[in-house]
Amino acid sequence: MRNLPGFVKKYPLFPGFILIMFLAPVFIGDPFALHVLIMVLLYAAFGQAWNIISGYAGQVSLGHCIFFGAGAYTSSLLLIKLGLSPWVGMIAGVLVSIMLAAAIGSICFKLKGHYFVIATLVIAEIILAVVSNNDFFGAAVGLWLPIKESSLVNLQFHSKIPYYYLMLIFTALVFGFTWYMEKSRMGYYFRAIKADPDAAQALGVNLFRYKLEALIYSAVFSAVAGTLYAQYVLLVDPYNIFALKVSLIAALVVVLGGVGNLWGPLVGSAILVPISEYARSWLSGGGKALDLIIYGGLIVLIAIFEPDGLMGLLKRRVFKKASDLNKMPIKP
Amino acid sequence: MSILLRIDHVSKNFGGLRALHDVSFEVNEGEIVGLIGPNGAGKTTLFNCISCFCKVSSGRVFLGKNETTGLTPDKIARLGIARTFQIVKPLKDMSVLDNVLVGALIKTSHVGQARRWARELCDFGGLGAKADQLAQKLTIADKKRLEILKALAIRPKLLLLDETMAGLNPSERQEAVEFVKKINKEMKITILMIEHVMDIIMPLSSHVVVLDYGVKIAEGPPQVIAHDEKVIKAYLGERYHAKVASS
Repeated sequence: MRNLPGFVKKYPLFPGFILIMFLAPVFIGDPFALHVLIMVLLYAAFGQAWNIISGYAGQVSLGHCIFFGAGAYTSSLLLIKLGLSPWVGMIAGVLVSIMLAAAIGSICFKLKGHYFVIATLVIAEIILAVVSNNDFFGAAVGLWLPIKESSLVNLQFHSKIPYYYLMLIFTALVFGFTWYMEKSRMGYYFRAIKADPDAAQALGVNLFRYKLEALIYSAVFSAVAGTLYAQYVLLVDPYNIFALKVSLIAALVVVLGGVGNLWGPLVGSAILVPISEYARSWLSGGGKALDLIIYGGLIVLIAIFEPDGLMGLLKRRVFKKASDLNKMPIKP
Repeated sequence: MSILLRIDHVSKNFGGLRALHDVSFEVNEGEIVGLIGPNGAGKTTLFNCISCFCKVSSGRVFLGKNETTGLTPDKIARLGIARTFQIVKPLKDMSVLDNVLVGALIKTSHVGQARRWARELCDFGGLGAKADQLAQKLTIADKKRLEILKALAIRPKLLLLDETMAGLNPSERQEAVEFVKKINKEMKITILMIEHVMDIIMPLSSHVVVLDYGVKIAEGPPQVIAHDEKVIKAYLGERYHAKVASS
């Protein structure tokens, strides 16, 4: 990492943040609080995956549960039916996810217009119908994963702490990749495609290739998130995996935090996920509706007052201080 | 002088509408060629056909010895044809420098190197002081300038300028004319330009092509074009004719 000093200079709070995240389980005794943190990290990573294709490259997906579910179901099925290690399942899930992304992308990205968002929405519903009606996939009941010995090889632990570190490492990898992408040619091309596809093409950007690349990266990270989620909850059921709700949360954490912003998914997830998890635990079954109402309200507020998300708000405040709006930086 | 661009019997139909009909001409290396004609004459359609944003219905286009008909716009850019858009297309939410940088990345995947080239270009085009501003916050004159800089960033052999001086006031226009001359002389880039303002195209170009209703009605040096009866009737109007005649 020869770029590390520059990175630390740009984000001076970052090392401290990493340290706090690393030591968090030592101070948090409450297992539920640790569970919430694990979910925050999971959705930050999954949200970042959505951010790559939809936030940076501007191709909005409303069916990211397809890739998340491909990861969760592939590894779970391989474990249950063939007894394969979830690590092998994770790789298989990634491959299935890449195939799905390539199939969807190679059709939709040849067309101009809103085909991609419609296709993702519809394909997610088709997969939900197939999975929930087919005994091979556990039908509507879902698949219970067998309890194995607590070890890294089995990717199963009886305490939440190893899951936390596993998720922390995965999330850090996803954010590290996105940070690298943002400053590379790929990142510039993604943003150019979002800003103006015709102008990008006139500048030599192969629209099809770069949109497909963005979708594949996004699908890979979503699939890994799916496998980790399945190994964490040890239950995959269609209505919690291939659900519009799952796709929407991936999008919402980014919209709240800041679309096309490196830290947006983490900020959004750190706000939305605790609301959802605590609402569910405090208000039991009824909590489900309340968290969705709060989500809806927050999104309306963001859409009206700060379309760039909370990171946009932060950026603007900093620059009002410098009283030089013209020199607003493009990246955080 | 060798031929850089050859338009060979190009026609383009939009359904029943004949936008271009059997247009042929050549652009020599190092020239500035003007493309004029009344509104709806097919000038921008011809640009779209050259840059492959639309497919020709018949005919062929050559860059040097290579046929470019039927390629995609990004491939054309890689072969060395850059274009600007009549309605400017700055990359929103990106700085002026980053706009130019995206184009510069065509020749290198190294962002630092591309940024240096983009910075040089911004200075060359007089936008150096505004390099860190958001592209959409520029004035219209600067946006038109950025449109040209973006196109130059891909280091083209041929630059297609689509009304880059429309909507500018006389002093801005004079600067733009000097800038086009500078691109042609210092960067040695061949230019094919669409322009409505006769006072610009006539002194700037060495060679003028006139389109009317999709058909090439005249071609030649500007002095000859200005006195061509067909052109005057179709496009220049009696007043300009009188002005040229009296001068």
